[in-house]
Amino acid sequence: MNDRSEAELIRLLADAADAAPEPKGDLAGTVQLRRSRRRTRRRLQSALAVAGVVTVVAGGTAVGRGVSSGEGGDGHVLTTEVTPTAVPSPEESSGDGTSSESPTVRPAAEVWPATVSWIPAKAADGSKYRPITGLSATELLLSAESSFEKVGRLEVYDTMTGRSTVLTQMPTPKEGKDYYTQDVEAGTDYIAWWGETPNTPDKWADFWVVPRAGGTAKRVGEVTGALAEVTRIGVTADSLVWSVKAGGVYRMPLSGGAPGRIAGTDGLHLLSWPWAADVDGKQDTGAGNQTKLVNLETGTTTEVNVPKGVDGLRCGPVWCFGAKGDAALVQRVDGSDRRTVPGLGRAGGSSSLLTGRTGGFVGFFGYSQRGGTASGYVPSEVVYDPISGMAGGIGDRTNGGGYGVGVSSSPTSIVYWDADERQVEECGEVDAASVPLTRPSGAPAPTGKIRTCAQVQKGGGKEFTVVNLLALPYMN
Amino acid sequence: MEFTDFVAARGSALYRYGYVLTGNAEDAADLTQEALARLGDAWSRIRKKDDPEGYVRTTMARLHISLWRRLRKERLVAAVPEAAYTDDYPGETGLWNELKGLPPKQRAVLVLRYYEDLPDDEIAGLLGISRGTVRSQAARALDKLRVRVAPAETEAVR
Repeated sequence: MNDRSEAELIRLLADAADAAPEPKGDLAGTVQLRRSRRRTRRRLQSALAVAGVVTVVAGGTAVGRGVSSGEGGDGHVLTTEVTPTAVPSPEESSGDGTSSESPTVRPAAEVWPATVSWIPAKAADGSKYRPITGLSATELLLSAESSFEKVGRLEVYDTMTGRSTVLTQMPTPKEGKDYYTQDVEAGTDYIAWWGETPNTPDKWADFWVVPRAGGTAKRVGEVTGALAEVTRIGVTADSLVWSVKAGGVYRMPLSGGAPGRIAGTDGLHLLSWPWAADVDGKQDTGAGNQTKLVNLETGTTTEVNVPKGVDGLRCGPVWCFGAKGDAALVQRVDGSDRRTVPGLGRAGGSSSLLTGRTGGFVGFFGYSQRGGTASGYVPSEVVYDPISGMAGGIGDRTNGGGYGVGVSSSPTSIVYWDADERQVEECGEVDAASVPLTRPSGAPAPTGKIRTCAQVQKGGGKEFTVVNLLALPYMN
Repeated sequence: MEFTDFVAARGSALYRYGYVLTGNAEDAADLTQEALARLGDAWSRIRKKDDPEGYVRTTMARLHISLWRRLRKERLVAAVPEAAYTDDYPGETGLWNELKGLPPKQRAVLVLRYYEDLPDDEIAGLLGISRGTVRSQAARALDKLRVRVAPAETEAVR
């Protein structure tokens, strides 16, 4: 029986707001501390800084949980002919009905041993490695950063030999520390990236390419204004392409020249060249559903079959991943093979795409099963392969659960973590005068310094456990 | 207006909004800080053409229903020694505690409708969901809380 009125609810909320306990500590100071931390990690991910879940990987360095990519995704190749290896609990797909079964989640290293390798967290010269994406089943594209403020170089790490080779240096075109390189994209013939000056009021960005085999980086050009609000980039044999925050996809010849808008791309965002979507995959919450997928090379538009009650649906050329209620929803673009996967994803939350072998996408979800798996293992996130129905756990929440996602522009094929790290509290001092807000009313204004603390990751820093999904054991 | 002035002027109200959104002081502070940090980063742009308060309230609502809070690892807490706090609203406990049982999205819809007093189409735009979803989430939440919808409002709400 409904025995309460709306007026009671209104009153309760208003009263609760009035009676809210005084917040601990100072607001302005912690906001300031947070912002300075964000700036240090913004170099490779400013597009994500306003968005994205931030997870910490090593020594306090955080990476955005963005999606990013392999080879520009000709994602047609995955087919139903794939024979899954033994799966403890395969989902059943029944025609138009939606099946639903929790997958058994074991660490990715057990589920797909071939995808896992261990790489040093630092180069011989002390530069920190940051994984970007896989270039093949055995090659990882890494950036090496000599310090937080310094743009570094790109390296290719061979997981077979355990050796890394320098692909190119990443130049700093603008003097001073205002310039930050952003996402790197691995195309078929070229590796490309863009940079910007996120801490200045100007809207400005530039684009760079280097041949896939390595060499000297070449600046393609620069843009200003709305064109500089880059969401994602792609690189073809002759052009640099990018989408912008307001929607729309642009192109600039690699030989230089004026940028031009690609016709018919109003409201579209790159997913991974040549694929574009009517949602920005790097959006804050992943709310809303993708309703179409456009191949910008052929001009073909595919409508997504969006089921009722789904949210955050994101589709590659073959598979879509989203949330339905408290479960993950997985289906093909046309709505077939639809299933919900309890234990993954969460109501209102987003899922993201990762690039699997040959450009096909797999799903990346939060793990919501309380208490973990039967073995006591609790992953931070779960990679879900829609073809086999297998789920591989990423990270280990009982160790603090930090993990990183490769920082490529298109959906990455890399997820990684530092198995040795742990969480500790780190404190610093901020000026009390910058903290006018949270003292009880009537209390005297604070003076001097106030101690402010942050939970940061410590330990580790030696080795990353890397899952490269380009090594998924598919037989095409 | 400078960003620090905005924080000084509006921080307390935003924190209270965060408190009804999240139901506890720690998450409210976290949410307020994160949303303000994002506003600070975008300040030069927002100040010019947008409404900073609207931006930050929208960010808070969206963060609340996103994966962000569950996954983030860089939880900032301040260590100013003051009196102990309780996270529970000391007044009427039944309904307040029952609100805690709602999924984040349902709670956000109720807060936007009954605390922020927004119409359903604005709530839909703000959360990036359809009007139908706003209505169904609200109906489900109200039913769970055993709140009856006044007949006069039934027309408008359903």
